[in-house]
Parts: sequence; C-alpha cells; structure tokens
Amino acid sequence: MLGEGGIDDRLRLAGHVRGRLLNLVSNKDKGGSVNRASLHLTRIRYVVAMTLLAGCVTPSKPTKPLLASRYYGTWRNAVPQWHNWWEISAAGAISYTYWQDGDCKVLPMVVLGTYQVKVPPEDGKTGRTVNLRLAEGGILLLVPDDFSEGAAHRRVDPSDICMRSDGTYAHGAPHPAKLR
Amino acid sequence: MVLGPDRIDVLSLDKSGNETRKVYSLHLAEGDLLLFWDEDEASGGIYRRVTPSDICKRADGTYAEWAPFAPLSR
Repeated sequence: MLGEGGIDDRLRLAGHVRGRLLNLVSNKDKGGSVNRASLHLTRIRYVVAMTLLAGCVTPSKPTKPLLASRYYGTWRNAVPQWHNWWEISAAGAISYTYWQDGDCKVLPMVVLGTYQVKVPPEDGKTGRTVNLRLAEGGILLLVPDDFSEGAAHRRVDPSDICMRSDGTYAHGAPHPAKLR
Repeated sequence: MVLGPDRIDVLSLDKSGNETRKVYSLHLAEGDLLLFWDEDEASGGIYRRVTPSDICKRADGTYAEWAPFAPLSR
C-alpha cells in the first residue's frame, strides 16, 4: 500500500507514472490515438505522486536540541568556596549561584547540542559556549571553548542547591528540604 | 612520582624557591581531556591531549629553550 511504502516505493511510482505520461504524449506526437481520459488520469496520478514525494523531502520542523541523558542530574562545583550548582535535565540546564547572604541566582542556559550549552551574557561578561565532559570518578567538567576557566562538578542531591554551610537556604533556592 | 595507576605526587618549587608537594588524582574525561585534581585543596587543571612536538611551543610557532621535541636548528 502506498501509504505504508518507503521513499523508494514512491520514487518508483513517480518514475512509472512519469514514464507512462511521456509515453502517451509521445504516441500523440506520432499521431497515435490517445485516450484523453487516460491521459488526464495519468496526469492526476503524476501530480499525486510528486506531491507525496515532496512530502518525503520537505524538511521537518526543527527540534529543540537536547543534552545527552548521561549529564542529567544535579551537580555542584567541587571547590567548596564556589557556590555554584547546575541542574541538568531533558528540559535544559540551569545554573544556580549564591554569594554570601545573597539570593539564589538562577541562570538558564541555552542548549546548543548534546554536550554544549551557551552561557548567556550577564554582569558585563560576554556569553560563551561551555562543553560538558564526564570524567572518571563521577566528575562533570564544564569547559569553555577557549579553555579559559574550566570547572569540576560533583553530583549532589537537588536539595543541596543554594544551601548555605549552616544548613539554611538562600532566598529563592529551588528545592529546599522540608523542615522537620 | 607515580603513586598508583591514577595518582601522582608532584614536587615543585614555588616562587620563593620553597619545595611544595601535591598529590593529584588523574581523571580521564570525554573529549580526550585529562583532569588533575588535588583533593586536599580542591583545585586542579584540565589538560587536552596534544602531540609531543607541542611541548614548549610558543604561539608564534617557535620553541622555548630546552623544549624536548623541538626540530633541530639548521
């Protein structure tokens, strides 16, 4: 059945119909008898076949890039003085940061591909492309394209995001653990 | 000094000429990267694999003195 055929079937059909159409026209040029109804029907088949074929080659709607699932999870900068977390999922990548008693600052990344994100420009800094690289020992490396300032992160529980060293949370922490 | 398959002990001199020892763990990463990680100070470096001829090569293509794999001068 046509609807279930692949692109090869459709190409074959289009070639067959086109060949038949040319054959009929050729017969007409030679003065042969032409069944007008048959010619018309063949033209319709040709148009239908070409339309179906066009459907095969029309580019599909571009899909949003996704980060590879091996990066999914919550990560914290391995240097304790750097209060920075990354939350990575199929929905994208979000960076959380807090300084001293400040708020938990949220910075969504733009996903460029399976292992690349774009850090948006902020605080006078220009945006940059960061590559995600898994390393032995369960470490996630965040490496800018220019290798300027890489970072090593370790997996943590989501409730760790924006938690201060005294166990309290910065304002705006996304997953604060419930108080007992 | 090699301490194990993924640990090294690095002896170096600081700017004042004092000896410092640091133990690094080595972590191979995607993209042919290598992480040197100092657990004590939570610091490290990220290296990428290159050819030996890259050692001590300056940005302008010349080599620093005593570069180990510099081509012989004519």
